[in-house]
Amino acid sequence: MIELNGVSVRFGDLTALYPVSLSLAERRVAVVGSNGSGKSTFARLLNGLVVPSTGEVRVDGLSTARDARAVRRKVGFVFQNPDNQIVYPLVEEDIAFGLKNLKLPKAEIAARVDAVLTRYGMEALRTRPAHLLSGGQKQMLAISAVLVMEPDYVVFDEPTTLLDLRNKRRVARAIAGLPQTAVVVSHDLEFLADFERVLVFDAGRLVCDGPPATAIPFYRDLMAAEADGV
Amino acid sequence: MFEICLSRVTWLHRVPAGIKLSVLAVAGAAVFLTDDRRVLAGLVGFAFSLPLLAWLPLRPLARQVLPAAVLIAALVVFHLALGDADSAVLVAARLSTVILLAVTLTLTTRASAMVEAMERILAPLRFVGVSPAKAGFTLSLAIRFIPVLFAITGEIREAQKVRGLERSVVAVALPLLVRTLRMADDLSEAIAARAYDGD
Ligand SMILES: Nc1ncnc2c1ncn2[C@@H]1O[C@H](COP(=O)(O)OP(=O)(O)OP(=O)(O)O)[C@@H](O)[C@H]1O
Ligand SMILES: [Mg+2]
Repeated sequence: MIELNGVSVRFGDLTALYPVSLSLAERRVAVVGSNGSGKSTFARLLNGLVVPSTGEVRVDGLSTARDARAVRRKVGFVFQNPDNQIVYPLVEEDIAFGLKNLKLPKAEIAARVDAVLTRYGMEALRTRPAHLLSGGQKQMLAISAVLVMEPDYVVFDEPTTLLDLRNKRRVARAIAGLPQTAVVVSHDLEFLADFERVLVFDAGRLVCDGPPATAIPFYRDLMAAEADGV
Repeated sequence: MFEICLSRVTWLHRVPAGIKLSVLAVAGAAVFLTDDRRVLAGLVGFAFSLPLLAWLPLRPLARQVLPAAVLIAALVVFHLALGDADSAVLVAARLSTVILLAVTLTLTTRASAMVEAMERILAPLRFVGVSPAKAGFTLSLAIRFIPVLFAITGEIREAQKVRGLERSVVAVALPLLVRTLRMADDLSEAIAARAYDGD
């Protein structure tokens, strides 16, 4: 379980996130909000990429500030732009990168890389240079490279924003099929409709927290009201 | 440096990276240290025959050697213009040997294998406070991001072309710098998120 206790985040005199306390126990949690509302800041808190200015984030009891290393191993993170998260030139080398950091034995690394390539239908790409893949293939590679580490939680920050419709669906299917707990920041409301819980952020505040049936209409109204206000 | 390990695997791909790196280092040092024409001829012959003996596809090889070949040709012309045929021969022999061997190495060796070999070769640096793992990893990042930088430069030039600025160094270099810094920022987070802790 992920727990936030009085967590706020400030960058200089800008408050990116006002104090929030909640615990995430659902398997599928969505995060929505307009640009600059604090979604990425919230997502980054969950694996310690951002540490709270006040309060504490705990993942299965571990503090993201004090036990950063352990938390990183528990919470995988997929970013928006696959180009900026692929580390090695070849597909299979990149997938192996995280496993090497976990200091796993060679045989296990090979077996896990094989398994994830097969699961996501990427065997044919295994020795391809990553920079020659299509956008959708790159994002599937980025996701595979995180999932192969078998984290207990996976956070996705706008994983489908740069993709075409077909690849959006492919990534959405991959996320839907995960056994792990997933927290997904997305603007794709259709994809979030079958999530268990939706958090709506507005100007750094958590303004709605509920099932999609209530949170999504709330978010639509909020956007419409803001558009009218301009 | 981009089309590493193309689908066809040759015997040279199977030679351990450490051996290939050592051969490159020794041949590279030798070609610059010797004046002996017979030794030089031998090294040049070795560098030119290696890709042929390994049956490497010549097109990607040529594409990567081309920019360096232009530079070598310019240097040769320069020395000839000064009436110094000796230097022209030396420059051509030395540079073409090193470049051909280096390109042959990158075409037949994976980044991860090269990093591991570098880590072993650099292991003594541990005693002067340099982490061999970090040095090797930095090298692999450089290999991975060279094509990305080329692609970004291309994109920026396209964009500036619309405004007639593609020949302006500043108009291309500035956005390139900004995008590279942002990419480096994202990348360091992504690396941290995949449990890298630099030891
Ligand atoms: N490292 C940082 N330093 C300074 N300010 C930051 C930093 N990261 C985020 N901010 C600011 O915090 C606020 C919230 O940013 P955040 O990235 O969380 O928004 P977001 O909801 O993810 O937006 P988007 O939809 O554009 O991705 C913004 O005003 C942003 O400029
Ligand atoms: Mg964001």
